[in-house]
Amino acid sequence: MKKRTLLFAWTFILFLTVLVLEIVYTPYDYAGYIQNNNVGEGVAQADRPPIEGPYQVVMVTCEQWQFLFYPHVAGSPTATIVLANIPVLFIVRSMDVTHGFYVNTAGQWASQGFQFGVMAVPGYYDYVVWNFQPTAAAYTSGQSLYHVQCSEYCGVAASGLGHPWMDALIIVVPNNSTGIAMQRQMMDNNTPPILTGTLS
Amino acid sequence: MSSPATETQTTVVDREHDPNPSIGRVIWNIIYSKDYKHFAMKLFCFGMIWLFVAGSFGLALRTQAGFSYTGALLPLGFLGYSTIAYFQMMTYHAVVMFFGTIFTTGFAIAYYAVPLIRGTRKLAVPWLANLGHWMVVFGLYMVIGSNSQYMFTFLIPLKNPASFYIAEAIQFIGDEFLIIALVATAYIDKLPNEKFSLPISFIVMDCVAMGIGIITVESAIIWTILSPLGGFNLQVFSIPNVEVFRAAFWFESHPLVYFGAFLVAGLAIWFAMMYAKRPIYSERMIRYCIAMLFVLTMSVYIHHMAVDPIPLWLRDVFAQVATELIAVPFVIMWTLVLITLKYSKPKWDATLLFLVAAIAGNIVGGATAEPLQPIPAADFTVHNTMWIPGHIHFMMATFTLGSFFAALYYVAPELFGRKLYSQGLAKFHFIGWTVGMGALEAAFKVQGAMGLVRREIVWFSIYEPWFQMAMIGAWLAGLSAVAFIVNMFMTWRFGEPMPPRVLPRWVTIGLALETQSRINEGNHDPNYIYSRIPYPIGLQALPSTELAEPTKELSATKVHESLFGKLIRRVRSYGVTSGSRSSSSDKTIGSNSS
Ligand code: HEM
Ligand SMILES: [Cu+2]
Ligand SMILES: [Cu+2]
Repeated sequence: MKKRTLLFAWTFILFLTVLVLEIVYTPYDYAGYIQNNNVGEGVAQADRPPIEGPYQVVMVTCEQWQFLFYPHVAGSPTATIVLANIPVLFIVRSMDVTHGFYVNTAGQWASQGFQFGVMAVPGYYDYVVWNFQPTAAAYTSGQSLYHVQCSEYCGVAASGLGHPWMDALIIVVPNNSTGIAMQRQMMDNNTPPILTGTLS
Repeated sequence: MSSPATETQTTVVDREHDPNPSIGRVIWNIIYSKDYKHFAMKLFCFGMIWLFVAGSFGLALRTQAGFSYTGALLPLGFLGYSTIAYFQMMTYHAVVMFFGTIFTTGFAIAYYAVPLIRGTRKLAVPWLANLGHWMVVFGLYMVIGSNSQYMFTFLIPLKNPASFYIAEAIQFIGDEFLIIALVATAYIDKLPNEKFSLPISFIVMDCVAMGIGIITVESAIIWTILSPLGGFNLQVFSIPNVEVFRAAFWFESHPLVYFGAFLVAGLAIWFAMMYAKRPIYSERMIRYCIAMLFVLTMSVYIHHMAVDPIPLWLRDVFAQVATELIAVPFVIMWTLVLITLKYSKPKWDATLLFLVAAIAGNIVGGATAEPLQPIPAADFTVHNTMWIPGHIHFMMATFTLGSFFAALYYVAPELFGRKLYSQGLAKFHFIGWTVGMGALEAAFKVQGAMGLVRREIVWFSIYEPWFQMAMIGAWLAGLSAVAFIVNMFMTWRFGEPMPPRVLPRWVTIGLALETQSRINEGNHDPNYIYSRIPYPIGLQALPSTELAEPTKELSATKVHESLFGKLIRRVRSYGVTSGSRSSSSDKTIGSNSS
């Protein structure tokens, strides 16, 4: 085999790898959330994903230096409660500068192992879908609390006031009568609406 | 060398080396370098000053992070710093490392290498180059004094102080001047039959990409200045659309992040050939890589906006596909270099150690960069986590600066005309830098996977051990950088003088081996020249056991035969059947010495 053939083959293999990566990853990409994919994927998009429902919808407004959920826990706009196992559609926007809506599992990352996030850009809406699926044990051990943090530097005024201290809380409750009752009570009946049917 | 030229040269030198120059003359000589070597030396000194300045900011940050996770300013508070100052230092660290250390040191190497390799020994448009340099210096000092805590302009509509925008505008115009002067230096006195050797091709490609890119960032910055964000209450333009602005910024910024790396990529390949004592496996393939890198470096920019609200097709083409593709030329380049080095029993001095570590850094940094783009490859989002500083430090510290160090250990002694002061210090530098930075990078990567957002001052205590590891690594790397600067200074002042050489060894050998690889591939045209300086057309560089068989051609195919075994057994005949063999004058290989 000539050197040229060898190099050509090697380049071809590399391109093929790229192609395979593309094909393998593509299903993740467009759908925001894929029903078949048990984990669910948070993919930011400029357009609202076509909704086949059911989806819980939570509006997130970012401003210096807090996240405001709608709907939210009564008296506490930086906390919201969602049901497990129903995808949550977060609609994220910013009132002033660019922020990052970033959800992680804080200390529990080892057992849950994911984070997702989306930018809050002034003048735009950004959409991200996530299906929270804590295990049964997670509810009792407090691992169903998800820490939200600003992930795009947005300034500091003083110690304790500014980007590093801009955070919020998502509480996930089981999708059963206990969970729903808890959600109703803590959120003053103002729970995230559940969209069903096809909406595009 | 023709005598008239020599005479003019001497008179110029004499005037500048007047035994009793006026103080004004001395200062002017420092400010305005007409000679390419002098200019390179000046840039090198400034590169080291920036390394020190930006390094101190970095160490301050790492020390704070290593001692406190509550946001309490444990070490920094004693020094009178505020929380805002912490983020200001983060800005200065990033900007000065990038535009100071990497750019200036890279320019130093390029401004020295280009005239030397081409044999013109001429700095084209010295006034532009010098002006550009001083504008960068001025701009960077202005950045440090600007009190900006906002990293860079891409975070608009956060409003930086007006002085920051002005500083950046000045600095980028300076960089553009340096680039134009460098391209001019690469083209000055170009002969009709002259072609660029690999290092120069890389530098020119890099400068073109960067030159185009800087125009977009400069217009983005000027837009900001003329808008209400600029701090002058001007309303010439309205506040720019954030997404458009960010796209403009990152479009520029992409060639920018690769800038230093591409400046020395050609030299790195030369050094690999020199240490392996054989030509690069395929020179032609490297040329294809240069073209691929140029196209892709201008196309991948959207991956910096992966979770922005942008249309999906834009993201797919310019981030996802392009970012996967850009790994291809890198992988090909390193495959070629490693094949060339394989079984060559090179001398493992500081240059080669740094070179190999740099390649490793690029591979690890590049592989771990792929999950950063919109492909949720690993089922977690790492955008804006510590994963990115991990990536950046792999790419900037281990890879780009590492390959600068590799080149400098070889080139700087030739530049100073003195032998390297201490190989021991150099080895210490290598170990300290690689291990220290490696620890910091690994710690950052783990934190990123654990979901720690970057640019923070408070975090959960579970992240703190990794910050302690990063702090120790940072101090080790800082110490080793001091060893480098000391070594360079001692070389310059007290190194054993080398006999003056007309041609540095790396230039002759590099040119000869590059030519040899073209001969081997059958695309050497003796009508073209790659340099004005005389160099052997090819070099005999076979391992000693093979010298006994003079009929065998010098070829890296020998190596890959052992690599790929039976599959390519037939390759033996390659060297003989190759077309260029018929021309005996090209054939070998020390022929002009015999
Ligand atoms: C195979 C090669 C490379 C790939 C695939 C790659 C990929 C990426 C990606 C996807 C990001 C975006 C991270 C994010 O914001 O989520 C990024 C950021 C970055 N990369 Fe690379 N990169 C490569 C090589 C390099 C090199 C060679 C350098 C510099 C020498 C570099 C410097 C940077 C810097 C400075 C950033 C951070 C920009 C910021 O502050 O947001 N990268 N890279
Ligand atoms: Cu923020
Ligand atoms: Cu990039």
